[in-house]
Amino acid sequence: MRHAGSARIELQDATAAAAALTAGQPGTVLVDTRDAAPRGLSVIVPMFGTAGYVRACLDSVIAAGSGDIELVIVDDGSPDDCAQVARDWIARSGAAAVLVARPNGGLSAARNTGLLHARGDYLTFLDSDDLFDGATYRRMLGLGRAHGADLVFARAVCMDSQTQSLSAFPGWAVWWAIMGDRPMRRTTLAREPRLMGLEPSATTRLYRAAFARRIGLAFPEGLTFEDLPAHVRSVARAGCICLLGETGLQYRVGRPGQITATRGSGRQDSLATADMAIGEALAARLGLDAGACAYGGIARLLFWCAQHVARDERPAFLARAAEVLRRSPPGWATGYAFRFAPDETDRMAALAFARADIVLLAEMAEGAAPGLLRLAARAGQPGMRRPFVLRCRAAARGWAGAAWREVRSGRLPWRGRC
Amino acid sequence: MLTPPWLREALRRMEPYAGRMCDDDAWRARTGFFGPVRLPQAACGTLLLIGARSGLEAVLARMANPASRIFVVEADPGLRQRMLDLTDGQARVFATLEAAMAGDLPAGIDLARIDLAAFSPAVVATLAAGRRVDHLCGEASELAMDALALYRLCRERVRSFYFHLAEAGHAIAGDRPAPAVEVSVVVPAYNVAAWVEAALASLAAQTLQSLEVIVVDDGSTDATGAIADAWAAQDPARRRVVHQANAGCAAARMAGLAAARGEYVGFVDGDDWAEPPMFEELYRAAALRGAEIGQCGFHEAFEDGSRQDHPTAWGGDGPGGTTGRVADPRALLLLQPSIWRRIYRRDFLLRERIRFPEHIRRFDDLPFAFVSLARAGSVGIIPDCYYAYRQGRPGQDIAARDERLFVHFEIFEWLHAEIQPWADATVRRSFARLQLATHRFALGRIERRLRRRYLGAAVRQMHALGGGGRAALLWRLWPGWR
Repeated sequence: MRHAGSARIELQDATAAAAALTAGQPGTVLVDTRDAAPRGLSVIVPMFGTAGYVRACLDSVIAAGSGDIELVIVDDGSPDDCAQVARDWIARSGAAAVLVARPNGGLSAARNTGLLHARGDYLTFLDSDDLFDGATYRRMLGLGRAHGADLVFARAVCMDSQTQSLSAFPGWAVWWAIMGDRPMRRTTLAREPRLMGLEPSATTRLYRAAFARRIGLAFPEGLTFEDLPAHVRSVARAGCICLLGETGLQYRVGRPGQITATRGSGRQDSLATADMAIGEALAARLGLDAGACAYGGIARLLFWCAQHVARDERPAFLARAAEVLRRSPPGWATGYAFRFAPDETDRMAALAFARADIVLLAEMAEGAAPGLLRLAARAGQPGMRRPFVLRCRAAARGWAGAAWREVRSGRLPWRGRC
Repeated sequence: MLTPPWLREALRRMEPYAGRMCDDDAWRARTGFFGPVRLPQAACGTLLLIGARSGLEAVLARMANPASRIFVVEADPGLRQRMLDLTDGQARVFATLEAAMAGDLPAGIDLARIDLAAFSPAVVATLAAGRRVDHLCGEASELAMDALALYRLCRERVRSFYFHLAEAGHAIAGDRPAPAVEVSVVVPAYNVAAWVEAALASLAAQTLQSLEVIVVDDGSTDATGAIADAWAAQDPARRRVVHQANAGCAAARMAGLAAARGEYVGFVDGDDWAEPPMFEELYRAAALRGAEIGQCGFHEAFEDGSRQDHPTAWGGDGPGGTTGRVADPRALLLLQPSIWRRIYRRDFLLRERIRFPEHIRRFDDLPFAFVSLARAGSVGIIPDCYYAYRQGRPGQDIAARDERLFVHFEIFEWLHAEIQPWADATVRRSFARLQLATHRFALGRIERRLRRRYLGAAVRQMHALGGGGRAALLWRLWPGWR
């Protein structure tokens, strides 16, 4: 059962992908309390339908004193009274802030609008339902300035909206592999290719403003999963990158109406953004290691999306995803699977994408535990169709054998540049 | 899990005072012990610490934000002096909360933290009554105060709160305003005049105060409607009656759901009854754990007065697994569909569009129970059998032994379409098991002349819905062989 041939998509080339990262429209400035003095950090906060959360979000940024921070708050045509909440907050807090209104265009468009109004030496993005410890912003800013870093990362943590309990942020294993327990690290992509595999969220990092302008930082308008192409582009072109081992972002999960919680057609956008990200990675001529990590990050996102599309659409989605990923040089998939994948699921998914093994991917996405033994154990479950199980087992066995055969025969490179 | 900014520097500063308390505070800072929304250690404008502990929090706060104002209430003079030393005399220290309130404690406090040693209902009440507190957190002892009372008090007085319960080992938290009604109970009633009075009386006797009852009279032809009207007239603010033309139990429940205003919604059938503590204990089990669903046990009440208890509680994080929070509610998917012993958070039902299939006239609770448990993030459970499920009433749905049992196929058809887009392997497996169990139950009681027809239909449908091979299904379903 191969679907790869049946669902072809028009793949954009790298230049088209780059052009799709368009500059935003300026919007209307409603309030501007900033003076002419230069600012250290611009925090761009797009708002849409989050009136109940905005105040806590803005408070958290200036809790450590507003000091060198300016807020660029963008009302993305929100149907609730976000703008009024923000207006009141600006008047009460006395922080340096600008409130911009624009017709609804989605998160990417609102961020692009915010970029036009940012005046700080560094800039960053914050979603209006999350919290960010302002003290960490100041530490990141200090670190970035001291080392002239193009990007400054900090740790993040997930917070359940209902119980307020904490859990690990996605991609924590990559962070730990890079940082361990160090308080900070100054590095570059060449020295630490795993940077490419960090969670692509634009909210966990500071960009040096001059660097962001030089690389034309922008987000693809009208698409969700917007962080991915910008992540690949910025990490690929950054010089010095600093990481701070302190927690800044508290990422809210489980909020009703959250973009990442939507099911269905929104997930299809991830194919387009993943395609753009692959284009960025190819255009940046990434080395084998960095390319492998980029591949892993993109494959992880696509697999996660596949888990959440409707079951009937899943094989078609996976086939298209595999086609997108197959634009990458073959060494990236094996490099990721055998050197960087943090767990068995990631390893198996990366190789299955490379082989376009849609049956195995669909079984994995449906929640079948990875591993031959676990797959075999499923045969005993009631209601399980035995021929299907046997086919899966055969697919999984074939995966391990065939991938190694290809590596050994030299058709898939195992190490070295591609 | 967390690394708050300045923690390393603050620990270095604390070296002369190192000890178990300081280690404990560092561990709390790293694990978000006092809640993530505003870490007590994080920078903020005005910080009130009730109970000094080691002083690490004050040091962290001052490092993160040198302009922050720190107020400390501590009975021990030695610790008061330590707080002054650690903050270079910048902290304001008081021996009692009353002294602080009488002194220059500002009207707005960004964050207050109450230590276990200093926790008492009086402290919380004084703090909540006198000042605007943005975020209140701390460690609470149930020896001193009931957790639900603390939850309600905080919800009404402060913007957000997070209390770790020392004895229970979990936290209660909230950042939303108090709801108008805590639980709405929907009572669908169709020709149950003989029993509905007992049901309504049991709801009137509930210990939960913030409870509204919505009786849906489903076009009864006996006195049910009149009895409900008379009962509702006694307390119109909390009791309502919705009359509708007979449209079936599912439609009645949907009408009640549409009229409900509560944070949670429960369903009590017109011929059953609920023991007085039921909804308070359910609310406690669900709301305190932030769960979408609360569940208690039930008992079958027979005509002769005897009862058969069904606690069926497992998977919770409490002792023995019979209480607490079930992190994966799919463990409960195969329970007999018993929606009336649960309460459901209303915004969860609306968000997930969970409904009763109105075109199906019987057993509409089966798909509702399945979908709600499959979609819920967590369930708070208790094993107490508070709900009385009356047995042996003539004309009861469950007593059918004829063609009416064929409604199962319609139900599974609908349920399959409903779960198809999102069901993963676990849900799918549970669905197959649920079908098997239901068909076995039906085959056990269906009249002999219909058995063969039912069996054939069951095998055909299960096979079509991906439940397995025909022969295997036949083997599993044929009642005489097992």
